[in-house]
Amino acid sequence: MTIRSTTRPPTPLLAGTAIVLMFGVAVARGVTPFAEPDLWWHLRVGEHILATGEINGTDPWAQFATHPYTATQWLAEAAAAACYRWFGMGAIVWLRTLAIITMTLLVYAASRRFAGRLPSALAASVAILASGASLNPRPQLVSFVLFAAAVYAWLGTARDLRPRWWLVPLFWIWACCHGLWSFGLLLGVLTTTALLVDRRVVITRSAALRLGGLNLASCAAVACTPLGPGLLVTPFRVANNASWIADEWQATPVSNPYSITAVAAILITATLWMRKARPRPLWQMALLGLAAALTLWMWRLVPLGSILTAPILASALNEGLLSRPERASRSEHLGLGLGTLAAALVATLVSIASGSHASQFPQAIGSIDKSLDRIPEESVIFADFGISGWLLWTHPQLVPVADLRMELYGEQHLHDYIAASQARPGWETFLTSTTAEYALEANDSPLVDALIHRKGWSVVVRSEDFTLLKAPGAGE
Amino acid sequence: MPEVPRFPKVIASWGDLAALAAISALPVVAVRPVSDPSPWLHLKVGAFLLAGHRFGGVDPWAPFAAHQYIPTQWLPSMFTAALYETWGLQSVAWVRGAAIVLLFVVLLLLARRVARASIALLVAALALCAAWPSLTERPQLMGFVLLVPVIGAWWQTGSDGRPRWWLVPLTWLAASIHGVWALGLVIGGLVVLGLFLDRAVPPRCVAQLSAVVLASGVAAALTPIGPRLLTTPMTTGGNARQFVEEWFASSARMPPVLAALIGLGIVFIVWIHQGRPIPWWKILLFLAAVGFVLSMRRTVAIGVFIVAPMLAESLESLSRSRRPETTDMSNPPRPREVFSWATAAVVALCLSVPLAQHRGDTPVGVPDKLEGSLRAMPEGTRIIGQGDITGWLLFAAPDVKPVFDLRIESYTPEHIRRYITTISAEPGWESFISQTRTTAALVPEDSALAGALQEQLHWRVVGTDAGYSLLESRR
Repeated sequence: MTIRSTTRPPTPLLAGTAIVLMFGVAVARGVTPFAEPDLWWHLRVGEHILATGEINGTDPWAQFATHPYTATQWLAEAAAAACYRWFGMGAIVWLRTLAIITMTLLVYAASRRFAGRLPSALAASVAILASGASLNPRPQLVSFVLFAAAVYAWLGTARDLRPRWWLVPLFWIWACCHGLWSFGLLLGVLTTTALLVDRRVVITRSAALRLGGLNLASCAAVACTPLGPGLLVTPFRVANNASWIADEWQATPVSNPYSITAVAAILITATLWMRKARPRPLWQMALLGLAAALTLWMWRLVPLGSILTAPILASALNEGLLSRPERASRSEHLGLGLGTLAAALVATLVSIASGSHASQFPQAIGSIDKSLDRIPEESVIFADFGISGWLLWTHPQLVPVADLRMELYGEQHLHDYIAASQARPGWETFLTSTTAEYALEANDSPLVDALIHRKGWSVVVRSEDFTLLKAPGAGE
Repeated sequence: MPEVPRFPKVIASWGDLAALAAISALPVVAVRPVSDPSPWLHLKVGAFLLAGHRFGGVDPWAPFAAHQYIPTQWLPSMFTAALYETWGLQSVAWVRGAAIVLLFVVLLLLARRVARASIALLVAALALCAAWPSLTERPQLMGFVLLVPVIGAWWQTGSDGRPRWWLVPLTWLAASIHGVWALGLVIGGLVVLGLFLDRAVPPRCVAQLSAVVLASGVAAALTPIGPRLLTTPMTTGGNARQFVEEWFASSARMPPVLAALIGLGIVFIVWIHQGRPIPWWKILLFLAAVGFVLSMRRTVAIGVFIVAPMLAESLESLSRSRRPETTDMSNPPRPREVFSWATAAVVALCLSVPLAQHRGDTPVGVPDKLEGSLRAMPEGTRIIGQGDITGWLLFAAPDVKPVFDLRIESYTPEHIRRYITTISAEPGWESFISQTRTTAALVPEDSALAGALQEQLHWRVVGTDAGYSLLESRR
């Protein structure tokens, strides 16, 4: 990409301020309290892996499961559980903030391949803001960081046609941490195809073979983790149930600040392109199309779409500024290094000071927690989907009717479970079939009302959000 | 060498022929039994207005309505009700079929102004398919028929900078039909803003064009509803955005949304490929189309209509770049062409009559077998109905009083919240039933409320039909 220089770059002060703001956005997002129901079951699985070394087999907690459990995110789960074991929730907050800072730096670096400091810092900040809703402490955060790394790598390849072989070990680590590696592979295949198809790109046969080889090697790396080649099909297995149950697997609703920011970034890029009279390289068009598709197709993919949009947005903004991007300099690297150190220091201090209070889910659950302690082991409990992860973490001696790891359960079981949660006709039959004598449901759940008024269950204890109920004669 | 190549002529005639065939055959798919929940409410409103009644302080049908109902769609409601009085339900089916034929013709004309007949036909057919879920038996459909010429007029204004004053009376008519008239003003405003940013027309011309937008707004304030019509979209939207699904953000996985996004993607690629700056008025319309498609399910069709001329023009330019000899095929439609399409439309409207007679008598999705039981209930019986069915309930059982109905703008948010809680049988439902003195319910058989009323309050099932149960208190 060549940019005609007609004006001078923005002043270093302006660009520096934007970079400071970028770090500020990243740290603020990292240390903000979070309400993440999935965190708890990931910690439970991580503890199990640390204790037993098992990453697949029969699930020890889900008696209603019909499939064996495969810990596809074993490395991230074990690492997080080890950190939690040693330093408590503060370590989780610290890891989260560090991951967001790394992701920000990678997005900035990818943007700097085509744009100056100011547009790159702005685009990276927009990417963090648009991804904000998903930047919670879960293994998927690793995916976002590694996707940013993959974007950095493939944008470099688009510019110089040289393969980045370090992507192969990166994909191996990615495949051990989280399932969104498939979109990293897609990014590589799409960029390679666009470069090969574009008549304006002169690519030698050997360079084309090397790029094809890189894609194949990355795919092979995914198949070579301790979980074996079977890992390649797990994203489809998880998607079977998750796609109709979990909100984050639904199409993105462009009605919240995060998705609106993500779509706005794409539309600003498109508008800047439309106003500039210049045909674009095919790979740029393809990547903007992929960013739009990721952003709109699934709520959980908005961060991937935003990360991919950022460098293209930065490049378009740079064209708007009509200036040549500044060359990378020692002072810039020094500034970024100091900024990273300062951000990490702030993250450490905040994690120590308030990390233990960072988790906002579930809130004020103390009395319910104590009551659950008194329930006999192996008791079946009909628990709200959202709280089931916390239940696995705090009370693994109880048996949930279903839990957030929905790929474990049969589709019919989940349909019946959800219908029963809504107290729809047939709920009693299903409840009886599970032999559940306890229920932990949201206060406004129709099931709470039905159990109390139609089955004579009694309220054991009620918190701000949840009610613990027991059947007549339970625990006697 | 012959001056005019033969191949393009054949294409053009095939395009014309295909357009004629499509218009004439459209009633076969457009005429269907009444399947939407809304027309029942509009028939009720229309009959009420035709009888000389007016909506005042106290709502005539709903005891818990907190706001005065404003019949913003009075003209199509009265028109359809008048037809219904004479020809029955088949007239409602006919009106839908006829409106779809008209919509297709105006879409065809819109696309034909910027592209040859074959491309115009393709784009109009795609637009109609993408808008299909919104083409129900509601006044909104007639609103669409009037909105497409408004888009066409502003598109032409974008190209030639000339004001179209006939938009003012057209807006008056559109404002008497449905709330989409307001989006015509938005489109006009965007084109004027775009022309201003492009500096494509002199300031005097911008002032004239702004006056057209302003005068159209004034015309909308001069319908029998008066100036309050200007604020009704906000009043309705306030409640609807919180509670009504069609006001929620749309999903990229919905086929119409996906089709519209693909269309926008093609336009974008062609524009970038052309390598020349796109004027602001087109960019603003492009962004507006994206906004309409993504922001709300009920505005997807409007986004599709805005995409139509862009897509037709882009495909035409793509075709020209491949076959430059065919450039003469994209002239505006010839009078002969327009006349033949108009004739085909008349044929289609006539063909719709026997189809409506055959298909229109039996409505779909309403429990008409329960109508007798509902009418047998004592006058003033308070009844809770599942949202969609309440329009039919008002129409079929005028003596019962629903505690909530489709006219969401008539209720307070608090009442709507409690109603939704009750329909889901969430804690507090029983108190809503007792406080509203509800003694009957018309709800889906497999709903939580159906189970709760039977198991907890021991209501009896009077009957079931079309997936609904009619329940009655034993007291």
